[in-house]
Amino acid sequence: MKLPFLLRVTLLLVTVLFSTVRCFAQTEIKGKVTDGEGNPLAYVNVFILDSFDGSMSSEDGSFSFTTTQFGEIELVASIIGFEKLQKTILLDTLSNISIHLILESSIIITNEVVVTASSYGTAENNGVVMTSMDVITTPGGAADIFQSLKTLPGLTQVSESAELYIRGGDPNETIILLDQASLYHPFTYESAYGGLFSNINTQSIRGMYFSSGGFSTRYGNALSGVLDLETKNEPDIQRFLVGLSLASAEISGQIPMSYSKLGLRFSGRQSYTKPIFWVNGGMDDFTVLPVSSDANASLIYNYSQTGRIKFFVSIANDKQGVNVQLPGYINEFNGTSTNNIFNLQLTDVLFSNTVIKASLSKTYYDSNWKLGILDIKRKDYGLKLRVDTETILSSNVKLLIGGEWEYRNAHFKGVIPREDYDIRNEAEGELINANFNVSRIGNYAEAELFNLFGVNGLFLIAGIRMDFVSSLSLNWIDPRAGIGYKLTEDLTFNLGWGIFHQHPDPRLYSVSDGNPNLIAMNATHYIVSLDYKLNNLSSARIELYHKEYANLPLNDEQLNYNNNGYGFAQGLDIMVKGDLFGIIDGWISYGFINTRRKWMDFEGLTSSTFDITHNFTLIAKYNLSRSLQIGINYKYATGRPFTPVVSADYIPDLDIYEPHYGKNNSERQPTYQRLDVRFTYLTQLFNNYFTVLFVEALNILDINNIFGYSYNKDYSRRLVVDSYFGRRTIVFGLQVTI
Amino acid sequence: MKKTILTIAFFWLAIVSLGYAQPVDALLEEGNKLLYKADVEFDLTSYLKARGLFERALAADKDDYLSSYLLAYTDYKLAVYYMQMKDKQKLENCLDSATKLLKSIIRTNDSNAEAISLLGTVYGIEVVLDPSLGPSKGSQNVALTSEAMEIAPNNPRVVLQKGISKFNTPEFFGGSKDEALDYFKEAILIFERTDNSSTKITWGYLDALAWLGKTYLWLGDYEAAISVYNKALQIEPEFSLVKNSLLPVAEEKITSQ
Repeated sequence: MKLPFLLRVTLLLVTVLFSTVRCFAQTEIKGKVTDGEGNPLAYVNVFILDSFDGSMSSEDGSFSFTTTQFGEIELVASIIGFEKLQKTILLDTLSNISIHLILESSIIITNEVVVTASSYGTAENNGVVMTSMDVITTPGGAADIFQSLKTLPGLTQVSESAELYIRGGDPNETIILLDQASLYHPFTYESAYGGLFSNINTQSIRGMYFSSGGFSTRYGNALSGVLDLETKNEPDIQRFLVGLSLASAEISGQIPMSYSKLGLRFSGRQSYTKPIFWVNGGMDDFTVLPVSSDANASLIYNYSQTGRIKFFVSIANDKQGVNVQLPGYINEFNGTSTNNIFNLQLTDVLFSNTVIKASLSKTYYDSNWKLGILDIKRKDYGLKLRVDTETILSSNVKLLIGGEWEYRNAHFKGVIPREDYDIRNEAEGELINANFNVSRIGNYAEAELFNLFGVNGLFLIAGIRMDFVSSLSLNWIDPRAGIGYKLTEDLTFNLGWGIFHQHPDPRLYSVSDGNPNLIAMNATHYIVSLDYKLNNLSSARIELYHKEYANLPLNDEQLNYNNNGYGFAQGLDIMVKGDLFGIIDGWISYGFINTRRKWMDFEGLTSSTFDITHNFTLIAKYNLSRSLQIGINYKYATGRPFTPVVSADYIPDLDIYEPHYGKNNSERQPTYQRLDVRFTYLTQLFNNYFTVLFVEALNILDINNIFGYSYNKDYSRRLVVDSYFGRRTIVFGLQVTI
Repeated sequence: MKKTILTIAFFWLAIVSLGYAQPVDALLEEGNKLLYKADVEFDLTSYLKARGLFERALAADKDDYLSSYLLAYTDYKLAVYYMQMKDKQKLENCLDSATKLLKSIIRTNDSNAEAISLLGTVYGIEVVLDPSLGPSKGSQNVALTSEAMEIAPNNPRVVLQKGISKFNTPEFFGGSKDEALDYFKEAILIFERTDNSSTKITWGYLDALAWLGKTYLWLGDYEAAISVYNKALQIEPEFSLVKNSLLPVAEEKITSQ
């Protein structure tokens, strides 16, 4: 059927008119944009998503524009410095829309006021900042994270080992995390006296957070401190670094495999001590010169704009053989260890306001220590799943929720001496074959409230965590809180309080020589601190703390151990960091501590082994020219307490003396002092490769610091055992970036 | 009947398309005008208005490279503005936004010299803010501006940014004021002999003149600096950076000689 021409034209016009009426039905959208406090915001970009309709707010925050859009639309308001606002609006009538848009400040602004007590980190919101550059350039620190951290207040110079003795606590009271995975043995050359360096290469580390007390509920099963490390993300450019020194050779690299999507980082290090002993002497002390090797690698994949998967692997091993002075004779200590870490971490953003991090890690540690009759093989196996979330509820409220499941198995097998004073090769020994399992589940929830009660600069952090250790039938609840107030732009006042629990060493739960009914140890922290920003480059912190220990394991004649141990640690920490005297870059830290404990075999409340009354560190770096820097690291520490031998009985059958000890920790070793000097020269090799040359003199004053005491055969005379760096040691080397 | 339906459909499409009478190109063109004004007057309002237009263009077409790039460039210039105003939070927000946008462009096309070069320059600003980032962000600045030079040695903005990198990098890290001077001269030559009218990315010529003058000033050749500044003011008499800051300094130096 063919329609008449006129009818066809009419149909065409009517159809076109009706079909386009919605296109031309203009709706005016107008309103005002303000911040959370009602202040008008100018130059806010207000527009409809997936269209070209929009406008910009004027000086008084008002805006208006017309649109031909119809139905459900997404209205966006955006300006730098505020969270982007996206609102769904229904345009279902021809009438105008009036709307009030409230933008919240980007969380980065509110975070700035959060300076929690006792914390140090690479990010500015952690207060006094310790950067990875500080670690690399600290004289005497060997570019080692742990050795460099020991220059901070709150960490006591108990020994030259890399272990972290925090405010009178045992190193086991500090947890160390890497991308959420727990590191149980992060040291090389580990022995009964601790390890000497970290087996995690500083080149792998992107950021770190360290706290010497009053830390967040996200960290559990630790009485004293936390070190939380984060490895680097995907590299943007390809780069390799080769380093060679008297002590080690290393190579590290970063390779972007697909720009901003897939990247690889790796580092490998081989330490060898022969050259260092050849130059500085001391080779005779060793039967097997200490050597170690470690390799870290991470593969990073960004599967979306916000999602990232990171697979990190670290493999390390070491060996050493050293002559040890024992009462009346010298014996040889041989130690080997292997340490593997595998961690798969996922990071993403959910619902545009929640950051989620999840990690699945596996750790494996294997060691063998031999000294006389002592011959112990240890295998540690750890498996951990951890999830942390951070939700920005508003510009003033952040919520942290997370949980962890951790399983550890430690197996000891070998021979231990029957009497601890007789470890000669021919001494009587006991076979051990012991297995310890710990399975723990921990959960936490914490809120961070900024501008509390509308008071600008006032913030509160409050949280609670619950832990359940099924294998030891333990559970506990830890409430913690901190409140701070930014008194001025440069001065922040903090108060921190919290309860911290930790299960005792699983070995104390043995049915034969322990007590399976031990409950968890606990510590209550009280902290008051002031942070002062001296200028853009310098900051200072002063902090008073008191830590109360309870339920510590204590020797018991009937039960082997009970939970009646107790103690305290209290003191003052001061740190000034930054631009000293206008020309010197560095920091000064001082810590005063008084700590006493009654635990384990202590007979009364007495100085703990970690009671180092005064700790002073001065780090200063001065640029002699644009390419030459001199740095010094001076340390002073009160001598470590020790328990003296007061008499000895001769045992004719064994031809050995049995020592009798005096009052626990009733004497102190001499004061510890050390000065390290480092020259760093920056240059370019072949006009192309950035090169760092360094010469470092450790203990340049050749001060004979002591590690401890041994005795002659009948214990009538003390023999000094030198510390690791008990003699002047020169190290030099270079690093070339390709 | 079939013909009638086709005719209706044609008209319908033609009229509906009128609803999109403000295409991405128009927003970019308007934004570019504001951006030029902002660069000349160093004016926050113009930067923010330009940013708004680029953001809207990007929201309408998320894959539009030019919108992303111009938004990133505006954020970079806003960062420079906020750095001078000492507004650290906004500065960090701008740098963060510019970095994300540029990385996104490079992820799609890893040989985009404009984006690679600008990302290097953004990293350079981060080093200015925090010199301890020198070993990481500084070396990335050098690497990215060099990479961009390898891809597009005749792009005047790439050459300009290589010069900025050479100027700001300490000598022992490979920086050189003399080499920077050569790069700025080369950038100006390329700007002057290239027809820029067909491209949507137009910034750089005035900046290259300002940087050349600044380098002469640093090297102590005050007369050459003043000559370059006068040339910039002939092209754009209201060029605030030269008119109010750089030229008076150069004139003061030459007077005090």
